[in-house]
Amino acid sequence: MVYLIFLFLGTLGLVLSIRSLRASVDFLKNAERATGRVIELVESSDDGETFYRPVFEFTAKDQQQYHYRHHKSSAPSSWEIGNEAVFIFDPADPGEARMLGSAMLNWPATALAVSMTLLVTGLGYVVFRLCYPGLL
Amino acid sequence: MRYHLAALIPGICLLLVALYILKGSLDFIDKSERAVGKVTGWSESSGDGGITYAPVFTIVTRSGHEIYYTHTVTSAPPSWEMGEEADFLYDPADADSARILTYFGLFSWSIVLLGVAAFLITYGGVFCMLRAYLRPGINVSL
Repeated sequence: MVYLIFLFLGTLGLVLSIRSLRASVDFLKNAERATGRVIELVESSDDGETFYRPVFEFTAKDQQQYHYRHHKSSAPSSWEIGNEAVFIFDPADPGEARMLGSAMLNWPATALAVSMTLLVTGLGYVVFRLCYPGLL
Repeated sequence: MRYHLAALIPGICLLLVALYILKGSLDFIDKSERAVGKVTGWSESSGDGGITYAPVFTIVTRSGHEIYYTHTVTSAPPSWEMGEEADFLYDPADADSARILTYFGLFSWSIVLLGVAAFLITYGGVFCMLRAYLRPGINVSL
């Protein structure tokens, strides 16, 4: 019974994760890209240690400048003033830019991989029952 | 961008190992005989959580030989009762080959390795297929 639940959850997960992956790919394909430069390293302290969070500035096609504050801070800083990175954003909303990288696909890819694991496990059980009827 | 290969290559290796073990399990099923085993005792093992028990089955083969099979799953208190029965498959040419007749009992390592392989191949494969979209400044279509 548990394998049939795996099969159901795997199929459901597969459909949802493919939709999510397709949305991410459509975004990667159609969104605007711009190169941003680190203009500031924001300091913060935790347990006596100083962490640095880079702030990027990029210019969109509308010639407006936007700032992107990285979600990760590090000690010592893994970024230096002037370092560059590529940003991707909806032209209608450059304020919601994301840094271009494989991390953008992490969640949909992980969801798809988990779904495939469940699907393979559940499907294996069904194939076994069909190939060896009456054995279990 | 190379870490997708770090998932894809081990995934393909695990898939090959899983298929090899799967073939062994299918060969075993084809040449095995079926028998009923009865719980005749418990194997005790002690760990951090105290003493746990694995049922020991006695299986009588068609030729009248007895095979002793210790279940791989232990529990406390014992999840099997004395005299409780289960079906087994065994290779008549190899008395130590008995496996409990459940899907996981027959294909345990194949199931685990296939599952891990499916995860790694899918995860690595997604990045492999979509790597062009992740290149800065390139407009691509697959």
